[in-house]
Amino acid sequence: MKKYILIIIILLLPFTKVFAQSKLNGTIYNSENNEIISYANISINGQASAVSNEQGQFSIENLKPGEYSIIISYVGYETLKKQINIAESETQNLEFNLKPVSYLTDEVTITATKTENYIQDIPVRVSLVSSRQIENIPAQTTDELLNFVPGVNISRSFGIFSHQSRVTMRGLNGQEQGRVLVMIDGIPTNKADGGSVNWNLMNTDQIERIEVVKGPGSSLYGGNAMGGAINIITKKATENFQGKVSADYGTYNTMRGQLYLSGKLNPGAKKGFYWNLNSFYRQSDGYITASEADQLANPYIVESGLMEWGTSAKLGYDINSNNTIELDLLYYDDDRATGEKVYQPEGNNREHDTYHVRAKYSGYKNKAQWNVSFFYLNEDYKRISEWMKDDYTFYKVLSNRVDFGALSTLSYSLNKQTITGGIDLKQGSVDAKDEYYTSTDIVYNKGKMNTFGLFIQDEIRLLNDKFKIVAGFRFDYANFFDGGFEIEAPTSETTFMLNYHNENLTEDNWNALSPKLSLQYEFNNNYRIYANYSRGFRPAVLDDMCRSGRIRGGFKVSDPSLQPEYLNNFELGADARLFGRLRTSLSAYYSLGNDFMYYVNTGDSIQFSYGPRPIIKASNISEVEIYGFEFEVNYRFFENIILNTNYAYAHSQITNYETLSIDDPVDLTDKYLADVPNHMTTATLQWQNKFVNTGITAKYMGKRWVNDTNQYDDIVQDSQYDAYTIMDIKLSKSVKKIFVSLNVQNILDTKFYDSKGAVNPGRFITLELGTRF
Amino acid sequence: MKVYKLFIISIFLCFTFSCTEDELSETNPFVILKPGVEYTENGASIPVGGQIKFGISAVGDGAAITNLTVQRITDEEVITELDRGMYIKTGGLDTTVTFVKGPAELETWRFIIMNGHRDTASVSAVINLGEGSAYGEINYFPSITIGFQNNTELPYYIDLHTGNTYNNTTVEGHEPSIDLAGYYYLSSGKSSPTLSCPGYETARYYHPEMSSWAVQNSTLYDYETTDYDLITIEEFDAAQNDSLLVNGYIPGSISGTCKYCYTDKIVPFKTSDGKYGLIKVLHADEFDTGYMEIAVKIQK
Repeated sequence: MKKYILIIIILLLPFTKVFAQSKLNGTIYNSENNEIISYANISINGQASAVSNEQGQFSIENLKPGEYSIIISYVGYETLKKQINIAESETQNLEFNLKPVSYLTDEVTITATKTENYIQDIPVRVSLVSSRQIENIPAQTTDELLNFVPGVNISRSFGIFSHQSRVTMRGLNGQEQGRVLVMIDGIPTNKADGGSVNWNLMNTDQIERIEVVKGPGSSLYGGNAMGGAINIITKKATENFQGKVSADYGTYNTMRGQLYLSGKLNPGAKKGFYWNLNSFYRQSDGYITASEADQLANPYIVESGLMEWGTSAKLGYDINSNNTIELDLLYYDDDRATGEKVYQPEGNNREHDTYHVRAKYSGYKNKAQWNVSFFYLNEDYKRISEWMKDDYTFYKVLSNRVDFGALSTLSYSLNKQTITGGIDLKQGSVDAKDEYYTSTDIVYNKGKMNTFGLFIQDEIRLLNDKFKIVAGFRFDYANFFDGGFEIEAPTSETTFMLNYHNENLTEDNWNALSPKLSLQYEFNNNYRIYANYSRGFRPAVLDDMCRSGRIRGGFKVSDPSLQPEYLNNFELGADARLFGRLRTSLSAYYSLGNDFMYYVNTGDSIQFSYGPRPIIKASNISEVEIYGFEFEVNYRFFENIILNTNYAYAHSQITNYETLSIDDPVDLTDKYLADVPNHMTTATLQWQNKFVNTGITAKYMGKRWVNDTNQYDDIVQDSQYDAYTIMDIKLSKSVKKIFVSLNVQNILDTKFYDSKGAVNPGRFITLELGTRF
Repeated sequence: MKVYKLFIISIFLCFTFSCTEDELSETNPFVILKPGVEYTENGASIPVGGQIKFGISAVGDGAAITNLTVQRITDEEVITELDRGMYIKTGGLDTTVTFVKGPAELETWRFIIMNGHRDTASVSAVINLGEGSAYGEINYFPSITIGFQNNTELPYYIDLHTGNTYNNTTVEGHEPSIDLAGYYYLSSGKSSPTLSCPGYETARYYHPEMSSWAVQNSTLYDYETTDYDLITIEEFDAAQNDSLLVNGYIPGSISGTCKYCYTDKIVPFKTSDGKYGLIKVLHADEFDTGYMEIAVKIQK
């Protein structure tokens, strides 16, 4: 498969050629005060071509003679469209004046409805992390870019050293990624095996923007989009050859190199190839994450270092001005030590060798738009575990997780409405084994899930577009099959599992219906209100359906008959733009969850080497009530100083918990969901100037319950994690093509601990030096 | 043109390097029973309760030796007497193991080693049942008291061979003879009074002073007999020789820690020098400043 892809790419490249002809130089101004506008997006003939620099200037070279349609857009301004004619070998120097908009916000999003809409035209709450914010926010990883989105909860205990991060929102459990859908360019990346997402896959340099849709999005996207949907939009190719090379160095001997290249092989033409390439490499000595008590008790504790690298390439072809095909390839590999080393050369560690292939064909004609995507995500997860207790134990986990599918969307615009529909086909699978090297045991688990989804949506605009209705539903059918859990050559390590050996787990299926109805009234360009109802679901993960084994608190037994869990969400929202520069938004939601999955005691116990432990299994047993609100204020002091602050409140409680056994001492009724902060508030200040561009961020994270039982935890020594505040800063300066950037995360060196008493990295400083060309 | 080359090279490198896989070649580890008068020879006759002693020598053929398993095979059953993970990279394995002859007429003892490539080798010896009985004498310590981790008055450590107890001060110089340390195991699940030993990692969490000991003995407790009360208090009290001590110990369910050691539990154990014994828990508090009082019977 890999060879074929490589051959195709190599064969396609010779059909392209480069022209070196005319040139367009431009400077972009605010039409009202003549201030320059930095980082505006410039596209020619529908293709993103350039971004204005800090002086508001841009340059597009190698244009062929002819007529061009220039489109310039930037947040807070009306999009400017202009036709120009350019002669052979001509250099045109033009000024473009953008008019500030009176809209609430003019950002365009595609995630909320699968059609392009201004954010203020969609009756749901959408947050956008723009390219300007990405440039200014001091983030090392993709998920950290979301730290300042209202109501979003990120669990990344060890900074860049975390092998896993989870991003949830709106009162859902912070340890469960499967309740929020994460996409790259509209392609789902939650793995069917565990619902998890590898947030380390991408380098922030390759991200154009991130769209966050709050509340259930299952009416369009199906499973996982229960709490919301996050769509990471990667950068488009530039019209002319552009690039960036940089290296950074910092705390814990951390070093990183990054390369970004982009271009079009036939600039200015309606058809032709375009491409970009992004690579990065990072390594670090790391630090000791274990608690002091663990360090005393365990002589094998070492630093949790890391090595990771990734390469992604985009190759697209504009068939004509209406049709495009695009291929994205991504490869990622890491090696993250997890802080204990006995005999193995690298000690305990984890690897996530990942291939991600995405192919897309999109086009439009008259009033119809279509999009067909194919994707294949392969992750080879490898874990080495070794420890010394009674004797030496060493085993490897090798888990092959594959998710692939085809997604299709067709939209048709009538006079005052847009109808969108589509069909999705997906398969997720896991084929894993735990192979022991200090005993003969091998434990296998496998399973597959096919999902078929059909959706339709209607966007209706009434009363001179002041009133908008978005209604739709989606039907999903899923089938679990080829499941098995097998134990080979058991010893005392695994003998206790033999009762659960089953080469052919029972097939099962389920279906889910996800409706939504959203209404909005826009009084004028400065005020709007909306209300919506939507239903979302999360499918059971393969890990719970086909793998039995030890987990914290007991022995987990697989259950292939697990059904999805659901969330019904009601939401009200309002937006106002005041005094021209102040933008405020308020959203309040009330959600009722049913069939929530929890690990429940079956009433039986099993004998481990350290005594009898309860047998538990994931079951659809709980009803959950979640409500909260988010309030956001955005103030633009001047064109180059923006302050954004927000506050989010969430109340998440289990309202009904049904035990499987009358002997089960656990009753979670009225308990609060673990890892959900009641209060979160953030503030970001972006100041772009000719001296040093500055981004300052602060985040307050309220107290969170440590466990579902809300009981005292002897490691944390409390029933709740302490609240904490983190402040970061980023300072950057460009001189011609050279730039330097100082990134300080956790300036105050705030310490916080996870459920195992492991500590965060503390203050983390990196200095980056690079060049753009 | 440079751009094309860079692009192609990057793609090529990406897909080339991603193809690496650990490939393990087949190896031939080797194991023998050492000859010598100090060891029980193949075909020997040993009376029930008599000691059986084997010397084992093994090499991993270039890979580390990672496991030694010893099985006692009779007509009735296959009992795994020892299943020990290890990592011996150089020099090979050279060890001595001792067991006790059971009542079966004929026992086949099988010794299996595995290396880091999961390749195995084995060797066997046959032991016949000799005449009479060789069950031996025992020492009995009717009352030994130790404190849990936050008890500041009582000693924490026991030499099971002598019944002597030590605190963090008096233990100096006696560390190599310490077999038992007790603590109250704390958990968000079920906390419990626990018996452990210096060689068990978690014990050092409760008694950090043990981390610096040059010798950290590993005593193995049979948790299955303990959890399911397979030996009664009456049987413990009646034991006059080591028969119950040897036969009550189930080698398939052993660990360096034994939780849920509540009052009246009977806990079989085997010390690091091969002595079998029984502990009767006379009293166990259920808080971390409390104490345990135990009675011990151990092979002389």
